Parts: sequence; structure tokens; C-alpha cells
Amino acid sequence: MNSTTQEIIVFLIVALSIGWAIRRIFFAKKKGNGCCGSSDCDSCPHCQNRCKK
Amino acid sequence: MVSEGETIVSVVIMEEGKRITLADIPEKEECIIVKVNGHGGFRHRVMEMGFLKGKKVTVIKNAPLQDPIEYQVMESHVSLRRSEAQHIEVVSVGEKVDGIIGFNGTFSEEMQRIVHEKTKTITVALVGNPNCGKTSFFNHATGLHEHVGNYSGVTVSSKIGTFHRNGYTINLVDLPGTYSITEYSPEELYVREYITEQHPDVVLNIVDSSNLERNLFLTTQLIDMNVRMVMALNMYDELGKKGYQLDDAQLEKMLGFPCAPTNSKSGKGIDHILDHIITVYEEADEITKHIHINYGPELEGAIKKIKPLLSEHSEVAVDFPFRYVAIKLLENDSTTYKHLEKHLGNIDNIRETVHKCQAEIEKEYEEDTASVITNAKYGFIRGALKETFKKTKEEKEELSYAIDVVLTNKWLGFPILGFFLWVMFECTFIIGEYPQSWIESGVKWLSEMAQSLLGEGILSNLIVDGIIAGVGGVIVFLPNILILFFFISLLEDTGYMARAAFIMDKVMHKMGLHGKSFIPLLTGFGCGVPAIMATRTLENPKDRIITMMAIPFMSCSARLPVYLLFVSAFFESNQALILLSIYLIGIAVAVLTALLLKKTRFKDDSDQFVMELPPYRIPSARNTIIHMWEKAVQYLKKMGSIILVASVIIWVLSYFPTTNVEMEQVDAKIAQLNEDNSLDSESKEELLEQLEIDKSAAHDKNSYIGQIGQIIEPVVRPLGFDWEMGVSILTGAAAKEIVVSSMGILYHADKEADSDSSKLVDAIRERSNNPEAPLTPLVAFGFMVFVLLYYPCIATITAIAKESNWKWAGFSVLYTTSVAWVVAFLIHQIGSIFI
Repeated sequence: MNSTTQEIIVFLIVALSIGWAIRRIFFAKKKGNGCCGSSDCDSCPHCQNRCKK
Repeated sequence: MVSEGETIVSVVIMEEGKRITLADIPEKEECIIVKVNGHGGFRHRVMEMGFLKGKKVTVIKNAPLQDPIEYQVMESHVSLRRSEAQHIEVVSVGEKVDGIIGFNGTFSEEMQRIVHEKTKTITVALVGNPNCGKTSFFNHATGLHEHVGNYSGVTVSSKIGTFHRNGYTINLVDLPGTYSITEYSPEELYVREYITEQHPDVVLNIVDSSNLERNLFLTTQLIDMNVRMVMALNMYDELGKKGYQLDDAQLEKMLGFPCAPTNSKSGKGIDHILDHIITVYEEADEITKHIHINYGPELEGAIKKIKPLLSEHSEVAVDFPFRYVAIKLLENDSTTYKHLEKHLGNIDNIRETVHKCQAEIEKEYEEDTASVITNAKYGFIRGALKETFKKTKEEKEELSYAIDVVLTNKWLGFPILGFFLWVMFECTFIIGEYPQSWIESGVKWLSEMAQSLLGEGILSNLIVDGIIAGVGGVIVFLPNILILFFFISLLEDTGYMARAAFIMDKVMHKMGLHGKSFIPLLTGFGCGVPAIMATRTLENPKDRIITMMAIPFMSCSARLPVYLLFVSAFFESNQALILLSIYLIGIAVAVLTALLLKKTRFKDDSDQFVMELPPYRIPSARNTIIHMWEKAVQYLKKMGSIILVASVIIWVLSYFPTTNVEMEQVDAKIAQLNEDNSLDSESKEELLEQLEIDKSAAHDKNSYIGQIGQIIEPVVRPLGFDWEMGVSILTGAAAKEIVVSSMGILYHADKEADSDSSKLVDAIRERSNNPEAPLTPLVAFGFMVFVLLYYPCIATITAIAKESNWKWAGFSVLYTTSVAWVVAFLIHQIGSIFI
């Protein structure tokens, strides 16, 4: 794999990670009832699907 | 008891008297409220709307279908359902309105007299077990001579005796004696229907003090019904004769209504009870508060699921509180089902939800739901008595009691608790070591595979140094966490956790908090967020805030990888003890925080609550496995999301910029050395190796994260930490496991490993040679304590803000971090003197 391809893959991984973090921090669903504001209730270890209940 | 100046009016076989209610008043007419009936929740809601004793109400109009009805009260228009209006007793002004209400809007003397008479009448229902002394009490209080005996098998009827006291007319209704108010016998049904349909103003619960455990079962059912209550601790003299002691002042605080000792045979204490009845009726009583009996997570979860279905039908809430109806449905109470069907028609969805909840509960407990509810009630009673009731004479105890004698013993309780915790942590290390080494080998293999497949380059660096070092550093602790949860699950399921809370209760009392606060604190060992939510069980808002401020000091499971890492690296001989000491420091700081807040910001007394002591039971393997499985899934999901992303971001910050002036200078030196032929190859290789280390150090120091680290270094240096540790602490804001991930990346864990042990453990041990900030066991201990005490993760901070406000969340962040810094500073500075 040449260095340019590697750089593109790294760029994509980093961009996706930062995008995910931004979505989680700034565009989280805030449903209350104990929800910590995670964008994904199912995988949130803190809320344990509380916002769905 | 009838005293001088009081007159007995009558004693009659009770019949339902015709009361005029707000629902009976025709349109455009006015009336005066004399009494608001119904259970506590309904009464408060209606009274908040302005329907208070003595207030004038005008009926404006009926809705087209005769329901609801619009009223004018206190200058505002309010609509009530007919079923709700039926619970408000009134005196009708009727057609005589002009004659009764004076020209200036005040009531005439006659009207005032009628209203006064009606509002000054208290109906008191006597409820208690058979042979607890109800009728003796009735006879003493009214001065009558009713036959004293058991009601069993006798035609169900009640006696009503009327007398005057302190300007009040008291109608004392002697109901049949029952052990409970379910629907197993006509007496039970009769008593229940009387309470729910006739709505006595106050229920006087008479209990046999010498047999409290059995008698209080009926009390727990009355508590569920949310009625205004007073308790007569009858036959109190026999209590002393049997060698028992009862702290009745404490008991009344726990139960939420006044209790007083009586002897219905001699009449002792009856005056006191009657005074309590009047103050409770006047709502001038300071003890009265509505408490909820805690039925445990499964039943409470079921109640929570059923209540919303009922709240869609407000007419149900008039006669019974939703919580009571939900409990009755779970008990398969056919009377409640019939009542709902009568009012709501089709209740298939409610029935279906109840059946589903029952199935879940029965699967969990392996017994029917009604029995589980009964056990929980006895757990509540046992908890209340444990704190208030003492036996000074030896008695044969049942198994749970016998175990409790040892486990909650004044002298043995704490050592046993300490021993169980030690075993838990010791097993976390010893048993966890094996699967941990397997995962480590897997991570190592994956790292080598990635390296060989991708070769040198930026992608390989991201995958190996970033993702595998970051996620792999944390994932190896999965077995340890599962073992810890296995033990926590065992402690919870056996009922020992409640005893642990009970043991701590005495300490908590000394701190001004009730032991019930210890339950959210214990939950905090798992995760801070549900622990913060668990503070909802505390009714006093001040206690809730204090508990919320103390919870972050209870070490959550996310911090465990940090301790495991450092304990493995520096404290091989006393692993469990060091880990236990960390947890104990957390508990001590939490308790001190509570004490500090109690002595400064919240000086008032805290409310008293009952600590439930459920019976001991053999834990179910299914429940424990589910508990561990859920935790494993959560942990792995966390690895695949937040830890993975954080590792990538930390790698970016530590990788870039790829070059800087310092590195260029080192590169120049390397080039120069390569061209120099005057040195022998061995010396040259040594020098080159040193220059490579210098280059790597220059890269790290000048990377973005290195620059951040250097900014915070002056803050963490007095604690003995290097900048990498400082940065790792910062990254823990998102999730505490990221502290370990960051260290894996920043300490280049992949390069430091030898073949026998964990890469990161080796990398950390290597830091003890760091000349600027040597990572000694003392620094490691200080770091663990800092991680234990400093600010909680964002999710916990958000939970605190939601459950209180952002001011308290902000305070928590500042307070915990300040405490962490001060404690770590003291450990480092004082420890440095001795070590």
C-alpha cells in the first residue's frame, strides 16, 4: 500500500471519528428521564436504554 | 377516652349516611366546602386547585354529556370530573343563597354554624388485627361498653361511637379485625371497601406492640393506600414485660405518621392518640409524610410500567392512588380488576402488561408475584424494626434472623464486610489474571499481524500505536470487571448488600444522613449515572443533593482498569489490599463530604426512612449470568464506540506535527554520526540508539497533546505526575477507561513490551527511570487516588445537572477535582518524607 493510499485511509478514519464525537457531543438526543444525552440509546452504557423507557 | 366536658352523642350500627357532595349541586348554585375526601395524592391535587375547607364554590355548567363540571372557586374557573366532585363534601347554600350570604358577601351566622359543624366533624376508622385491643380502645375513647371479642365468623358490621373533643365531633368507627386488607375474607373486603368508599378522615391503626412484625403487615397495606394515619402502639406495657424495647419516636419518623404507646385496658395513652388524630386531621402534624415501601427493582419496575397505563384514566386516581392499584393488579386482586373494568371498560392492554410483568417477576424469583410483594413488605417491616426494636431476652430466631445476628452484629459486622470486600478484590486479581493473559496474547498477536501486514507507515502507526494500543489497553481488563460484577451480583441477590447498607447506616446516621443514602452510594461502585438516579428514593431534597455530591467518590467500575494497571505494575505483593484501600478512601471521602455539607450548607435534620432487610435467598445462576452478560456487552460496545474514537483522536494529537525544529536538530546529528567513520560500530550503534530515543522524546514533547501536557504540567508536577499522566487525566472526562487508553498511546506501550507481561505494565514500570518525574509506587498510589477522586465523567455530570441543577453539577466538578488534587498532593509530599 503506497503512502498516499495510507494517508487517505487515515484521513477517513480520523474524519469519521471526529464526526462521530461531534455528533455525540453536540447533536445528542436529550430525552430526559436519566438519559445522559447519548445519540445512541442502545449502546449507551450509562443510560441502559432509560430514555426509551 | 371521654374526659370532663365531653359528651357522648350516640352509638349506632353504622349505615352509609347521605353526604352532599359537590357533584350533587345543580348548575348556577353555590355551596361551601366542608371536607375533601379521597387518598392523599388526590386530596392534595384538588386542594392545590383551590378546593379548600370553607371556600365558596359556584357551579357554572355541566359539559354536554354531564361530565366534567365547570366550577368557580377563588375567582378562577376549574373543571372537575363528576367522580372527582363526588369526593368533595359541601353544604348547599341552595335557594336560600340571598338569605344566607350577607350583602357584603360574608356568610350569615347560621351558615357559618353549619359549615363549622361539618368541618369540625372527624370520622376515624379503627383498623387493626383481631385481638389487638380495638374494641377496648373504642369503649375507652367513647365511654361505651361494646362487647369485646373477635369478629371472625361473626356477621360483619361496625359500630360507630360519637363524642366531642377539643371542639371537634369525633365519629369513631370500630371495624372488624383483619390481618390484612386483601380479599381473602369478608372482613378484609369490608374494611377495604369502607376505607376506599367511605373515606374516613383519619385511619387509626391499632397494633399489638408485643407482636409488631405481624401487626405491621396491615400497616404496610394502609401505607400503600396513602390514607391519613395515626398508630396506637397498644399493649405497650407487655412489650416491656417481655424484655423488648421500642424506639417509637424513631418508628413514627420512618413510617411517616404519628405513633404513640397506649394501653386500651387501662386507657393509658388514649388521650394522646386522640390529640394526634386532631392534629393529623388539621394537617398541622409535623411527622406526617407519605412514604413508599420499596418493593425492590423488579417490582418497582413493574409498577412503573403499569402506572402510565392507569394515568391515562384520571377517574381511577380518585378512589385509589395509581401505585396502590398497580400493586393490587400485580397481586391479581379481582376486586381491583372489577373496579377498573367498571370504570374503564376494556382493560386488555393493562391486563396484558400486568401478566407480562408478573411473568418476569415470577421467572426471576421463582414464586408468585403476590408472595414476592408480601416478602418485600416483611423486608420493609424487618428493616424498620431492626432500627427501632430491641430484644433484651434470648429468643429462638428464624434463619434470616440468625444470620443477621452475625452479619449485622455491632462488633462483627464491619470485619465481615471488610473480609467479603477483600475476597471480592482478591478474586478479581487472582482469577482474572488467567483470562487477562489470554486477551493480552490476543492483542499482542493482533498488533504483530497488523504490523506485518501493513508494514511501516502512517496507517500502521494509527492501527498499532493508536487503535490497538488504546482499545487493547482497556479490553484486557474485561475479565476482571466481569468477576467484580459477579461478586456484586451475588452480594445483591443474597440480600447481603442490604445488610452492608444497614451496617453503614449507623455511620451514616452519625454523619446526619440515613443509611438509605448508602444504597445509591453502593450503586456508584457500578456506574455513577444509575447511582445519581437512585437518589430519587430519598424524599428529602437536601439528602438527595448531599448524596449526589458524595457519589462521584464511590469508585465506578470504569476507574477499575486504572487501578488494575498500576497495582499490577507496582504492588504485586499486596494487590487486593491496595485495591481495597483505594475503595475505602473513596468511601471515607464520600462520608466526609456528606458530613461537611450537613454541617455547613444543609444544617436541618434529615428525614428518617426504613431500611428494607429482605430475607436471605440463594442467588439464581440465571440472574448472575444475565448481569455479567449485560455488563460484558456494555463494555464491548463502549470499546467499539467511545474508547475507539477517543483512541483515534488521542493518536492524532500525539502523532502530529510529525516534525519540529528539535527533531530536525536530532536528525542532523544522526546524519553526522552516520558519516563519521572515526567511531567503532558498537559505540556508533549505542549513540544512534540514544539519538533515536531523543528524537522520539522531541516528537512527543512537541506534538499537540505534548503541548497541552506541558501547559498542565505545572499543575500536576507537585503531585509527582509527568505530563503524559496529566493528559491522561484530562481525557478521562469522556470516560474513565480512556485514562488507560491514553497511557497506552502516550507511553508507546507497543514498543516497551517484553514477551512475558503486559505491554502497558512494562511501559509504566519503565517510567520509574524517568529522571524528570520518576513513576514510583508512591506516585502510582497518588495517581490512583487522584483518578478515584477527581471529576466524574460527562455522563455523570449531566445526570447530576438533570437531577439537581447545573450549579450543583459545576460544584461537583470543582469540588471533586480540588479534593483529588489536595489528597494526591498530601500523599506525594508526606509520603516523600518517609519513602
